[in-house]
Amino acid sequence: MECARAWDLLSAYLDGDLPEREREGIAEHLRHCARCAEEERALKETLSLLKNLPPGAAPPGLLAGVRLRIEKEQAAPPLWKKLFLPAHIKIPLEAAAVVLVFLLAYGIRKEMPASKVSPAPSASVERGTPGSRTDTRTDRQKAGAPVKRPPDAADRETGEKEAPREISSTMPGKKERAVVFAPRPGKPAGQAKAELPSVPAARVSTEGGAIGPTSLRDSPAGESTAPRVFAPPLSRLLRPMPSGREVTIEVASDDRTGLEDRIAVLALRLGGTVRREETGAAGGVGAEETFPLREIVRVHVPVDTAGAFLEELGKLGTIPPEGMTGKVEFHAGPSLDTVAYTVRIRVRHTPGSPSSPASR
Amino acid sequence: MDSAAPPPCSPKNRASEAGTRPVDLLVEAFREGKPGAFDAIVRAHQDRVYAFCTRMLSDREDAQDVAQEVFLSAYRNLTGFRGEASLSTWLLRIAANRCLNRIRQRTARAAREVLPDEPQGDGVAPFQPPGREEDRPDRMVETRETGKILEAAIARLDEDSRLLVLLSDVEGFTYEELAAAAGLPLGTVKSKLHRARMALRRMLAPVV
Repeated sequence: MECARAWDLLSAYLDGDLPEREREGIAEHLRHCARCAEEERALKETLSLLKNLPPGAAPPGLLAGVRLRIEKEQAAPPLWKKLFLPAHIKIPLEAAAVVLVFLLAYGIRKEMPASKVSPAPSASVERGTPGSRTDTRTDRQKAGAPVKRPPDAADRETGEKEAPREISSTMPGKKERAVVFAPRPGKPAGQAKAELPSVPAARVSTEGGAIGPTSLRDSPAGESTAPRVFAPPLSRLLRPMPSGREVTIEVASDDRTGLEDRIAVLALRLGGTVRREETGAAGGVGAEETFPLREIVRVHVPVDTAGAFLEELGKLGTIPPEGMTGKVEFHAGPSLDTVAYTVRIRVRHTPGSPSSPASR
Repeated sequence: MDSAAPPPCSPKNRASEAGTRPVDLLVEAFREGKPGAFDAIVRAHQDRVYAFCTRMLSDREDAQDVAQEVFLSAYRNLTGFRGEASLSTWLLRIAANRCLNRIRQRTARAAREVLPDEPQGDGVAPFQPPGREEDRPDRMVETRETGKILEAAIARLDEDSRLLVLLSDVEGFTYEELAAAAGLPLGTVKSKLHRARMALRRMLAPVV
């Protein structure tokens, strides 16, 4: 055995941790190599010194210090105990957190556009007037996002207010609708601003059950009547709704004339009231005047006749699936026994009619 | 040399010095909530734990602080002590961990306290032996105070080597206990222990 190898094994040799053969090899080497034998002797003496190191004596205050630390620890529980105990604090806190998370998830879910939940194919515009500005509703808009009106600048240029018009798509197997914004014929210029009340559009989601009377849910046009729930956004839940619930009624252009009056008569017949004028600063700063609302009728009806009002309203035209806010459990009216409705009128242009974009 | 003779100080063959039976009784008494049981445990082991901490840390105040931490930790966890090793081995393992943590804290603190405009050489902090210059073993030859020389030599080992030498050759840990305490494989423990012993033997060359 070489010296280097013997040196490497010296510790194990002294510990008795070598197999018999290697142990004998080292012993043999040490008998003939004075240098390695001296090394082995010195290492053995070192280990002997270590083993016989005098035991230290702990300072007298060590035990007292330990006791003090234990007492301190028992007097002041650790932070995690302070946070999570006792149970009469912990359990209500956790319950409140669960409720909060549920409410947030509910609000976010309802705020989310339906297209993100269940994407549907885009509607295709069957026809449009060449050269006229058109705006095809995307799925998201159909799903309930506020419909973007044409910019005011365009209104100023043309002097006309554009009204959404709905046409059918030709997508096989699925009937879709698209809305075309086209200039309204015969509309006086300069009224566009006053005709855009800031009533938010309805929102729609694609799950849950339908609301309202059965007759309103069944679309006469044969459209998909998949059950849907129209729920308001969370912001609505937290704010009062001065305009009440929204209902959009869709009529053919031929039936448009006098529709506001028919809605008003209906409301009055059911014991309600009608408001068709709005007060606002229409003539400059501080100058207030009333101006008539166009395409919007605001009514207040007693709670017990609200269902009948909606049913009768459905007979005056068609309430499309996205045309009504959801069945919500909060009150939407000036008092607990009155429901406010904002009825929005939408004209459905039939092919060949004089006001149809295609016929112009 | 007689190859059949048993080696003088074999960690494999040596049993732990602390008697396990009385200590086990103390642990049982503590678990049963008998008053004074924990005090008895501290008294039985404080000298050994404190001496180990002093040799590891080369500072009496730190050693006392860490020794108290060790017994506080034991107080918290003694109910979970399964008796696989002797109580003294268990306590020394806690002490070894605490001492290494304390040394790392010191090193980190010392690194933070280095002024930025101080010359740093090649970026590596120069080796600072834990002992004082006058405590170097070769300077103490004349005094022949073997114990002091040995303590000083131990203090000059790096902390990992110091830990292995103290646990193995002073406290009598077996290789397996060493590996568990140091968190190293058995082979690594053996080779590191050998290197540490040889380093110590070189430092003690003037006296042995």
